[in-house]
Amino acid sequence: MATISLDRVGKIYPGGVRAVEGVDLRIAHGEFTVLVGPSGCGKSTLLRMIAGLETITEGVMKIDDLVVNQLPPQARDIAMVFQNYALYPHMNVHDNMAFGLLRRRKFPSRLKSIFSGSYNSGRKTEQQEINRKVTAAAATLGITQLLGRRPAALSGGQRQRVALGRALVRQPKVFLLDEPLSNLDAKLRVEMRAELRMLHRRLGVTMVYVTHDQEEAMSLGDRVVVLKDGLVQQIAAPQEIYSKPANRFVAEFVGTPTMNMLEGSLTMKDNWATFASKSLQFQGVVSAWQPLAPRGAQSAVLGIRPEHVLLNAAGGMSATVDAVEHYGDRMDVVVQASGQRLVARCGPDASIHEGSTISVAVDLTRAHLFENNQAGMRIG
Amino acid sequence: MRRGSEIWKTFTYLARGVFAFAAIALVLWSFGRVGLRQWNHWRESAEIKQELVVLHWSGEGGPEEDEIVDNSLRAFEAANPGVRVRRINPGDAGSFYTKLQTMLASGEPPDVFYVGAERVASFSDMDLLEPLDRFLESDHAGNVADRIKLEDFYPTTVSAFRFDGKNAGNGALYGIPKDFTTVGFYYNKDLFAKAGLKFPSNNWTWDEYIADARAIAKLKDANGEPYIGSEFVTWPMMVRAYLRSEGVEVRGNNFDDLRLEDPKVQAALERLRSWRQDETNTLTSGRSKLATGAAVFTTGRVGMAGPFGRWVVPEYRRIHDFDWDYAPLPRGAADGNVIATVSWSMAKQSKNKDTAWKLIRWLTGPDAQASGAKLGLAIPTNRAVAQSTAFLDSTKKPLNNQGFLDPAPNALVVDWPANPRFEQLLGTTLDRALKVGDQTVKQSTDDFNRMWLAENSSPLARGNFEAFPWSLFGWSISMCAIVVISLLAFLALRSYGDSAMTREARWGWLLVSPWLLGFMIFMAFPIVMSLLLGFAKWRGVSTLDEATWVGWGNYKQLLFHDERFITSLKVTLYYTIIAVPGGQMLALLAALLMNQKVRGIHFFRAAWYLPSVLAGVGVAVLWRWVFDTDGGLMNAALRPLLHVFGATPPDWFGKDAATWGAPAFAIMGFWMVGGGMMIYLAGLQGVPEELHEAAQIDGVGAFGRFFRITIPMLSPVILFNVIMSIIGCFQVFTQAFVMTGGEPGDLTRFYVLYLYNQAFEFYEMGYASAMAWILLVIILAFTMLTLRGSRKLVHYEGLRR
Repeated sequence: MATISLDRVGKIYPGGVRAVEGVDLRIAHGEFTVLVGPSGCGKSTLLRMIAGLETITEGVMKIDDLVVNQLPPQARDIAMVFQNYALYPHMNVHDNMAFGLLRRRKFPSRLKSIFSGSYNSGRKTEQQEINRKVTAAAATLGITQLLGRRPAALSGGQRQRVALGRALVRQPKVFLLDEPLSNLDAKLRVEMRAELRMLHRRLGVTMVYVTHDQEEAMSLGDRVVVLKDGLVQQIAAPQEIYSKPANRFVAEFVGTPTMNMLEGSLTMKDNWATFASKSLQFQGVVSAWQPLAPRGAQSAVLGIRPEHVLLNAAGGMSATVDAVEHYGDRMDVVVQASGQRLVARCGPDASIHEGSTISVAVDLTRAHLFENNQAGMRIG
Repeated sequence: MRRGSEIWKTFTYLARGVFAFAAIALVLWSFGRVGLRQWNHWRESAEIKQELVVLHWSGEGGPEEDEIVDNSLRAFEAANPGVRVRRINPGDAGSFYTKLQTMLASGEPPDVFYVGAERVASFSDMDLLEPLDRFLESDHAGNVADRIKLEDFYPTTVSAFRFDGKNAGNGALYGIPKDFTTVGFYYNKDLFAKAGLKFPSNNWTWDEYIADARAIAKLKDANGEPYIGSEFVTWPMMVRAYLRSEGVEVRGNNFDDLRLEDPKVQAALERLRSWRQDETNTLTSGRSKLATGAAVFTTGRVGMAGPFGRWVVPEYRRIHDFDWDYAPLPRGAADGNVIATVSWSMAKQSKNKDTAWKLIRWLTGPDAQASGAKLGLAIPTNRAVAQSTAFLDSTKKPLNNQGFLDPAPNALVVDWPANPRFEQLLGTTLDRALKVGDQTVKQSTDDFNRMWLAENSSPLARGNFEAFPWSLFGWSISMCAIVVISLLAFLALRSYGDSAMTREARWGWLLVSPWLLGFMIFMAFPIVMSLLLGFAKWRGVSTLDEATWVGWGNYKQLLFHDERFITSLKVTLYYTIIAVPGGQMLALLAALLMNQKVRGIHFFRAAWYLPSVLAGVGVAVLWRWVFDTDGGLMNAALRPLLHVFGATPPDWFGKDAATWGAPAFAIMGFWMVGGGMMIYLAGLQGVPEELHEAAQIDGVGAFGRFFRITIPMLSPVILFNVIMSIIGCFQVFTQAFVMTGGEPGDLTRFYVLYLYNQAFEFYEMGYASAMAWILLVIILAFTMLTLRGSRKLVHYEGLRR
């Protein structure tokens, strides 16, 4: 178990391309941290920097208060699971898992002892210890029956487990996982997600997990780090990321379907909010926005999660139903109101038909407000 | 013009059309040319009553000799209307004999050609030469105006071409000598003056010779480097010349009576060995094919060079750095010298013998001899011409022309027995004592006697064999061929029910047919022929119907009685053992280097690969000089390095040839690892980067990753390269052929080189075919062994991804 701390950590490639910029992050003992973001956001680079596979060009990185900037991977006591598993094709599962342990043996091999003249029976004990650890790890992951096989003879899920086992058996301070589930089919991915979660709880080890899938990030992480263009957007618990996105990017990145975003102008009279977007207008009491009142009418972006768009509500505006998507447990409804498109989520039993007219309202108290600019920072 | 644009499409369409048209035009044009030539040939033959084919070489004489022969032939044509002479000059003597062999084997021999006196016995033994006595007699009887009067010639040169079936000198005359030479030493006048020596006289002795050599060996140049007393070539002919000057011979009256055990012979050889081996810088000897002859002398670092004949003169005339002259072979106990001579001879199979004789008369007449003498490379055989200013030209070096003529009356021709293996065997066995020095003279002569006995007592040499049952094999091969062809025809023509499929299949057969045809004619047929010839004795200088059936004779002789075969196998194995692991390690190392992400890496890759695409012969010539013991790059680099340890660099193809001869070729091969490197590079780039990263995280350092990840992942590639390399090593030929010719001794005579010697120097095509099949079995065995032995070490999983 270990803490990881990143202080203004950045990475500039020799060509001048900036991959990661000024990351400040403290990962506690036993924490499950997920790095998430669209492809090219620098999440994998950041993970590889923690692993020691990429050099750190700016800032300070510590593992357990030890500055690791210049340490090679083998000196950092970490384990990593790769997207393509990176199993050694020429070794069977047992040897794949034992490989990292063999390198850490204290006693010399028989061959070396011929020269040093100090063959020690400790070597044998050591070998038995390695076998015991491998067997134990295999049992944990339920791959005991695969130990004799080569990776080529395994299915995707089995390989995934072996890759995990290889990391597990070493009992490292830190677990790094680089999109480990992305090569699995959807059903298996969900299963493995739960297993990973369980594994983490059981081991209580520090894990850093990279994914581009926000759902995976939310479901797995104790804390989620959202990255975009090498910059940290938000670091928070999944619930907070969802309910209080730090900016417009996070708001849109997290949640399915995507949050509705309406550009317009907000006028606060005490706690009475009026948001006008083109010919649409929403009104209501939002005491949280009261501090914005002195600014008068201001340009802003209103974000409403689909579940907070109310259909067939009293006093709503009239809208036409463009599309209805049934999910069994719920329905996503795309409506058009005064030329603005909104997605709403409602219960499965509502009787809504495509092409029909419907009334739409918004629960402003649960809406998000962002600056209407490039940064799109949250203002309420 | 962007790719994919309309203009681009039109352009590529047109370009393809132009290329297709050009290709068709080229094919039609070349066919047309050949056809036209053949047509002209036919048209002319209507006017020309007779055509003669003349084959000759122009090695030392170069383009001048080529021109002189050509002029002489054109003059003959002018003087004899209706006769056309076609002249073929393949280049040097080696190519000449190969060409002659193929012409004889195809049943279309040249009518008139050069024959060196040393080949008279073997050629007449193979019944290739027409005896010329009857033409001389009929000329005499008819009192022809320009008839050849043998009494005008130096008698030894004439008797050199007489052979009675056992010995040279007597019997039928098989050629009219065109020119000759005696042998002696060329000396560097400047070095003689520097050492305060007086120039050799025309009757100097070996004692004077060696004293001069020792005096020059004591000289040092401005850099303190010593000079070398004398170059002494140990060609069998020259060793025999040396023995003659001591009044002894390797044989008695004939070659059944060998005298190598004679104490006088042993003593003379021992003296020569000791001069070369026990003294520093007194004698050197031609270390290779290239370094013999002119080259060493022209450096100006050797006092004397020889024994050489007149043939080096054209090359020595290009020396401008120092003054030189010639002295005949020194006297020992006797006054002996030898003659080397070349004749114009007539093929037994010639169809126009009378005209051919007229041509020989023309080519050996005084006028032709006088014009030949201008070259300076040989002495006219006609005594009057030799004594005239045509030869005795005092304006050009060497001034001592008389030194060539004086020994002529007492000089004898160096004859050889009909079995052409004798000469090479004598040379290689004696060289172990004289050149390499790792054997005593007695050991060498014992080796010779033993191997010559084995050669002579072999059933192959003595037995009378039945004619090769060509009809039997012919029938069975024809039957097989018919079966195969009809099977192919059936496959090609059969219907697949579906007409589209049938059409596709027929197109397939049509398109593959050029290759199929080529394979059957140029691969399958020769393979079957060589398999059959392995059971035959066929000299390759007659048509195939003269082959005889020897059963397993060739194989038995090779495996149980041919020591030189075993030696060549050992040399090849020694080379393979060094070249394969060394070469592969270097190739892998180079590939690792070339796999780095460095600016300009493409340039470096090209640079590493370049030597592999250079022409083999050119590279070999280059490397011959790299390995030159005194002036070579290799030793120049090694000398200061080894000096630290108090050692000296090896005399690669000389004294240290037993250890360093074959490895030198391996080292040379290391220069050409580019091909293997490219394959390794491709393999390396197929090793996923994550594996290295995973191993790095597993705590494995760079070396560990190389041995635990890179090597196992690369193992199928390594196996492939090792097998290809083993095959290549067993087939090594060009380098050795060009650089050393197998010398010294048999220490660089690789398997295929020995095979070549058998086929094209000893004219034993059957024997050579058997060798080729044994080589196939050896290579197959090694490949299987490697495949089996590597089963546990090679991981194919890395390829399946």
